[in-house]
Amino acid sequence: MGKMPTPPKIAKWILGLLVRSGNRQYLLGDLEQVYLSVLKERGKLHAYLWYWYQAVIPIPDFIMTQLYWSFAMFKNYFKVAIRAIRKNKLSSIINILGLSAGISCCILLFLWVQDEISFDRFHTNSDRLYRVIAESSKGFTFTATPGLLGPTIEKDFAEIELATRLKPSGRILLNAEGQSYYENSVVFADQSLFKMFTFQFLKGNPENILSDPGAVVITESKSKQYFGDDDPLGKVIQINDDQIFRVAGVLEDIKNSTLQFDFILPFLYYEKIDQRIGDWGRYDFETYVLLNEKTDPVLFESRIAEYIGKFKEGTTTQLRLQPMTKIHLHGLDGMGRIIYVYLFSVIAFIVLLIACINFVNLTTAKAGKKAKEIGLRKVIGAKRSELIKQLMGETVLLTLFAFLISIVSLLAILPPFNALVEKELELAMNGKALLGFLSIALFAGIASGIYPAFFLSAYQPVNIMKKTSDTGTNQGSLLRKPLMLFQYMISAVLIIVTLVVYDQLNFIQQRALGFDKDAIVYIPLNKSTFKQYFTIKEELAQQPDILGITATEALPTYMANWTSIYNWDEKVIEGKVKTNTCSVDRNFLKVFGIELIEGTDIADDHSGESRVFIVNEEFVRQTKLDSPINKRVNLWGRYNSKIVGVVKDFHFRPLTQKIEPLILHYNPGTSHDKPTSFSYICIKLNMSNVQNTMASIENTIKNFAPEYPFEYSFLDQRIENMYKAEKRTGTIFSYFSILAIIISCMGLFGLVSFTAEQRTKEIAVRKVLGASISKIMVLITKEFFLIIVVANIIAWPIAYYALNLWLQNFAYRVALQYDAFIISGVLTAMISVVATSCQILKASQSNPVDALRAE
Amino acid sequence: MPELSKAEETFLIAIYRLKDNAFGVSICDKIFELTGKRYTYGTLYKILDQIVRRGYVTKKEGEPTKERGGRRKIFYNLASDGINALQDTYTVHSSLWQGLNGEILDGDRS
Repeated sequence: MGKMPTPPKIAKWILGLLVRSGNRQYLLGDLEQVYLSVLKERGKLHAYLWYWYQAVIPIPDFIMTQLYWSFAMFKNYFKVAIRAIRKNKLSSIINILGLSAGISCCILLFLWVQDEISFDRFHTNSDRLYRVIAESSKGFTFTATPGLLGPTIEKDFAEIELATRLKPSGRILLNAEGQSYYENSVVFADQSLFKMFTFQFLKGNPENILSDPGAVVITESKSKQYFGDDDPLGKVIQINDDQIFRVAGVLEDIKNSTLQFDFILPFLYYEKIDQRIGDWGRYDFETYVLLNEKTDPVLFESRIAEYIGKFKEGTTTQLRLQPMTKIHLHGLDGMGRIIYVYLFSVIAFIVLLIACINFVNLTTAKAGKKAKEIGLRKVIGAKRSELIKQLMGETVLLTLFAFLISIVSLLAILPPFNALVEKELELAMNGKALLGFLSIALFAGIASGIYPAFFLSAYQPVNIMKKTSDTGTNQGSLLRKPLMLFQYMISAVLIIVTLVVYDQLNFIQQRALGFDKDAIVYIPLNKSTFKQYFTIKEELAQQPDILGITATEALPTYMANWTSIYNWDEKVIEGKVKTNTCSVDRNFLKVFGIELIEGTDIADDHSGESRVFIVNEEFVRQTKLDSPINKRVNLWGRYNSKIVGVVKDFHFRPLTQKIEPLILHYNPGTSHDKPTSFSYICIKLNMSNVQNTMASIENTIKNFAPEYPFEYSFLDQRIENMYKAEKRTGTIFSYFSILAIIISCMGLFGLVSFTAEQRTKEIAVRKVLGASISKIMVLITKEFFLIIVVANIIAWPIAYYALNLWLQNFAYRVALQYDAFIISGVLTAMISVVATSCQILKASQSNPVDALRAE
Repeated sequence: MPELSKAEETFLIAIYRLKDNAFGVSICDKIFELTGKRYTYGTLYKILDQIVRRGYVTKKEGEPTKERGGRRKIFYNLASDGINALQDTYTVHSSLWQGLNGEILDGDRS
């Protein structure tokens, strides 16, 4: 006889799984014996089938048994969990509310981050799109590149599939259907734009659409605004009063994109009107490239670094590539919005963490009550792994409950949150998002459940049954105090940070700018009003509610016309001074209320001078002129002009930046025939009758320039808008931190009320023996108080460090004073005292008889 | 003493009849021979475990044999509790049927 035939292996393995270990050997032996006899009597196939039949038959029964028991146990767990929730109402509410707040925060943030990350990713080739940026030898990076870079680099390098140039037009006047509009988002682009980037066309054919120099592509919303419901294709848009374009395509409005425009005009047209486009020293155009699939961007970047030098001798500026998908989050220098992504992620995570800590603390505090159930289950025969499963299950159930609450509350929170962050987030229930939300909820459940589950399931039933007192509480406090400490430390940090952030933002808003921003309206000059400025000024001056009129090249919120001056009298330092310049009209100082500290205003007669200068204190400081009045400064090599006055420093740039030297220059020869380079008329108003005043101003200006829309803004609003981003960050931050503080207070409240409840008898005995309520208060609060003090002490350096880092963004910042730190300490202490006292008062005011009677 | 279930009774009798040769395969075959019912081996061991737990039978391991793939047999023997239980069952059984055998088997259903 050869080798013994053996039954099929897989069937044998299945049988092994189904049979409990005790009988497995015998059963397999039996089956093998029968298998052999069947084999002998009826052949191999029959035996084979028979064996498989034996293996398959018990499966349904096995599954049913498994299901039945797991369902029975699940039903039991579920029931026990629901009972526990109902029995400990206070801690359950705290847990569920805290967890749902934490989950809501995380989901909000998840949505926000998802939106931020989705920027520029909708292009089919987004991973191959790069922006070409230039880096000067001093390490400054800028997005502007020379005008011929796009086409030449595309021709010279096979690695580049396509390239396009973009030239934003700046503010431009458009005419359509007899109406005129000012538009800011008009851009000239090469025809490859729509091949590289995937913008959705609603009308028109994107193929070669920009190869017609008379075509324009507009967005849907502009099409609605300009042409209403008419078909916009073929309609005429006039630009700068002379050039005619026909609408050749309509784009879906562009969202979540770094490239934002409403009108796209052919670069072919722009080439004709700009004579200096071939100047390789002029950086004025954005260049984007689409690399071939096989190109290594790092290697390629090194190949193009010196490219500009080929066209302009001695250029030190180098080219770099920046991935399109990184532009939005990382900005030009890595300091983009990514910092907000990190900041908000950390805060949302902290909120969730605090809620989890609450859960851990409350559950382990109540462990004594749960311990009996655990003990009993163990005695009946539950294994530890089963108990862990059960306890985790209860927690996850609770979290899912909290998750449902948070989904419902998110529906209510989202609209105001969207208004705050100026986004259109929605609770999209697609698979990916749902998976994300659920994993947040599951994470919360596991993070808060895992410690209590292991902690509780480790109890020895004998110890639990033997002792009548609550065993769990003392063991649980081993981890409870550090967790509470951590919680309070975070709350303290958040309080300090919130206070200082608010302080700083207020400081910026209220800091003396050095000029008067109130009641000033500014009107941008157009071609018509620009020519007739002096006539308009005379006419406006007649109006009684106008207190002063002036004109300026730039508003005092943002003057950035940099130049360097090399020559000035009594030159005492070598080299040059970098200064801002701004051309102003008479009355500039008066209208803006800028204080003159030396010399005279430009309103006076300066015969024989082509220019007169007023400088700021910083200018005097940097040039080290001893007595600046009547000293001469050479500007642009053209004007060797006299300084007539020195003004007090004022903030002519955002407060994040330091005050730099400034020259306000005035041409005394300006008159009706020779206006200088003014951009705005600025009018100081009597605010008592603004509407009428504005109406009459509009009338006057419209008389001079009927073909232009009348535009105006108030200076204080503009200034407010400048700090909107910071203010928004501050608001979001404070909401999150208030939430975090509330949740940790709830946790404390739950813990204290539990302690008070536990010590009812102790309090009663103390009262009987003559202790006063205040003494009892001190006794119980003492334990929490120490934790709060230590938490605050740890929190101070952390908050100090974080705030210092943030404040670096501002050139003018509040001093970090100790008051915010003290306040956080007092506040956390106060909150905990309030939370504790009402519970303890309740316990201590009750009649001792009631508490002791039960014994 | 609790009453035996029908399956337990069947098993005990089968084991008794097999004397010293009562193990999985032989019990299964014997029951088939006696009642015409074929138990799957999974169920077989469930019931065998049950009667062992109740103390009606004892079990003893045999030597491993080649035809069983080198596995041991397990032999079952009736314990005194098993004998007692069968006796009780028979007593109950016969007193239940006392004097009725003829009538029921004759098919008088009136």
